[in-house]
Amino acid sequence: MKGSDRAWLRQQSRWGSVVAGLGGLLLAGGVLLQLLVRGLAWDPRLLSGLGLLLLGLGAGQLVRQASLRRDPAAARRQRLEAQDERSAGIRARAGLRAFIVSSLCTWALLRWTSFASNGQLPVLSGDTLWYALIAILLLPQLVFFCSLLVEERRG
Amino acid sequence: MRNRLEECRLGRGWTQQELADRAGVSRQTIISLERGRYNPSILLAFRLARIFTVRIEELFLYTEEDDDEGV
Repeated sequence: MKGSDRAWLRQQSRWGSVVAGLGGLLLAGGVLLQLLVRGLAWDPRLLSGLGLLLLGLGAGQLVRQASLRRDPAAARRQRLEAQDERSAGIRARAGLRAFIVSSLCTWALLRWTSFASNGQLPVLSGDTLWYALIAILLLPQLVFFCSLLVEERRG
Repeated sequence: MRNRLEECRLGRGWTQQELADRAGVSRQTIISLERGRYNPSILLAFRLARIFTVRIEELFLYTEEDDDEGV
């Protein structure tokens, strides 16, 4: 295995360890709070749930890196895919478009709530606000993936 | 930007994947370069020129019209 592949694998493993470690801490914190503290204003299972998710993601990354260490050809392919300048450019442009859409949507919702508080626009009900927030979350993701698809097809 | 990448690659009898491996990029990048749909970074252009042991201007053919295409 080449030095650049090894360095990339080490960096990926470090990220996996950090995420898994953070997940472990949150999980332990959540469980301890649940066992030791009564009358919290929020449910500590939210914390342990988030910890469990991060722990799973980090562990998954570590397992993937461990299997790549045994297969130098696959490790090299993965590194080239991840660091390929054309793919990085496509991802960066897609990310920029998604960021612009996300900013515009957030700005529009903020304007709406401001005008609604002045009585110039109807007040959004709880349900409508929830759907608007979901749209703000999903629309940039849609823009990101569509941009990736279009640019990959064009290239 | 036009280039002589495909001609040089075929001259050596390499596949696109072989050239991609030597240049440290994906095969898709080589395909896009050969089709003239992607302009490489200066580093990649130098790397490719060095692989084929030619000068960069012999591999990538710059014309004034390329300025209108953007990046």
